Amino acid sequence: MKGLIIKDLYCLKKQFVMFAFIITGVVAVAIMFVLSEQFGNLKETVTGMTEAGFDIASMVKTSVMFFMLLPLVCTGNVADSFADDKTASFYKTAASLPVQAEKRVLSKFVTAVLFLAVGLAVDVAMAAVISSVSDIILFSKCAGTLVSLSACMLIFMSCVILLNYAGVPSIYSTFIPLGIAGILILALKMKDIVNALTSDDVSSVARTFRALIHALESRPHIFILIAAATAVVCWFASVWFAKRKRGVA
Amino acid sequence: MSEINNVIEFRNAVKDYGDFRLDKITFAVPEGSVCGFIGQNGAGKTTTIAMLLDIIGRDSGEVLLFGEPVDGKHAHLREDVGVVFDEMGFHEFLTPKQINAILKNSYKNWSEETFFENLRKFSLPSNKKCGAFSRGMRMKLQIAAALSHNAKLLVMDEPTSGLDPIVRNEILQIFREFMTEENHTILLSSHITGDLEKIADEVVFIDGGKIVLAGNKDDILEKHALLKCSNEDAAVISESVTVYRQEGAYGAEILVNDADACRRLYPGMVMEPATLEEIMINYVNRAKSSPAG
Repeated sequence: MKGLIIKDLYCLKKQFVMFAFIITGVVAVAIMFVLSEQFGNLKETVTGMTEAGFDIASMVKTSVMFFMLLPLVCTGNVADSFADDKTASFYKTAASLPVQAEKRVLSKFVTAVLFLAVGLAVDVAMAAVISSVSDIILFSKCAGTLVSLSACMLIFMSCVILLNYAGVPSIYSTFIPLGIAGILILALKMKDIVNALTSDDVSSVARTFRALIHALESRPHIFILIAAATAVVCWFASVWFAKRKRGVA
Repeated sequence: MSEINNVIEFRNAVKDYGDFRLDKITFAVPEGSVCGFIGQNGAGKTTTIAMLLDIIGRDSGEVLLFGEPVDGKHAHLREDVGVVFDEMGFHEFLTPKQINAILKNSYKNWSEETFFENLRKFSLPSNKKCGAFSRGMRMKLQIAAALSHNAKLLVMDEPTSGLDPIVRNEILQIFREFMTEENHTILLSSHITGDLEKIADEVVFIDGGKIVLAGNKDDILEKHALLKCSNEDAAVISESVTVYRQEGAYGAEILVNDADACRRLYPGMVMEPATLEEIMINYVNRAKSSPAG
């Protein structure tokens, strides 16, 4: 199994370049943000807008969080390793290795979690630095959000892995979970969205958004539990597909 | 007398794809032998090998590897199997050095020294991406890997196809060296029968998903012969010994499957030894010309 994890890490190695690029960009933006918030234009803007009654602090915080999510998101492209395996016909080689189907599938999950852990570690470190020198974000809330979003990423990656083992082309496997999530959100909040579009009343949508942010900040354990359960279910289902089809890397 | 162990055994193995069916495949490969698995493209060689390696499941029948069933539960059996596919099976951005890192963490008996020694022997660079390798180099890389974990069985699917005669000969020499250990066995699938005539002890011939011939190569070559005669003389040749007859303006050429009997029955006729290729072509032609085929 370790060999297959190493193989997947080699497959995803090319993403390190993009990852490094994004990290550099995010760190640069964060530094500018912090400096500007303390000494520059942003400080004046925040002060002015706050006096004018706008909740500019929340907007700034959301913007910072958005940038910080990029490293986490870019670690989630596990579908790439499936596409690479298919191109190289690696499934035959994998099937000829003395590794059980369960472990072959597990190696994909372990790789996904390892990648995710790298993204999370980078983000948490950045959150610690930014929160120590600025009031834009509180470390405890930011860390909670990052852990919750990592859990969401794990749910997404588990679905991608399952879809690949189920035989869905890797190019579609990334979009299907996102599409399903989007449809679910639309279906659940259709009334509020229609309301916002027809009567310009965005308060219910804003309320939902704030509730989601609050849940991400303060209830990471719930997201972790859901992610763990999803990962276990997806692993069992993936093993079933792998055994049924055999020879899947 | 010592008992002969079969390293590979197929017993009525069936795999039905709808448009193609491997039909009751039955043959065995004894330990210490080189078994040539021959057949035209699309005959079912790769599917049979995929079944042996558990890459695909089967619908019925049994497949045994080292005496244990191949059923998706015995991955440890593949510790002793080196595999060479017709395609490289490694990602093109990997270098042999990285492949070593992957495989040493996959096989318990992986020997880095042997792998790098094989790379040197086959003149393969260890730091170059294998996407830049020629077909011959890719095959050699696979063979280097297959020979680096103390495998007792080599399973190869068309390893010499598309290679020039010099490289093919080098590869056959590698197989001969592998066979110097008496418990080593090779299953070598190929449609280049000339290679198999040089190296194989056993031959299994598959056509249209069915095993047509299986047995000792020398016995098969001894039993079969090409009988050359006039079209009039050809008419007297018994159908029971005829595999396929080809009649032309200058006479007939008949592949017979009992050369000894034909020598006795038709002493005046010219009989020439048949090559594996001629045997394969005549059996395929017979299948094509038969009402069912």
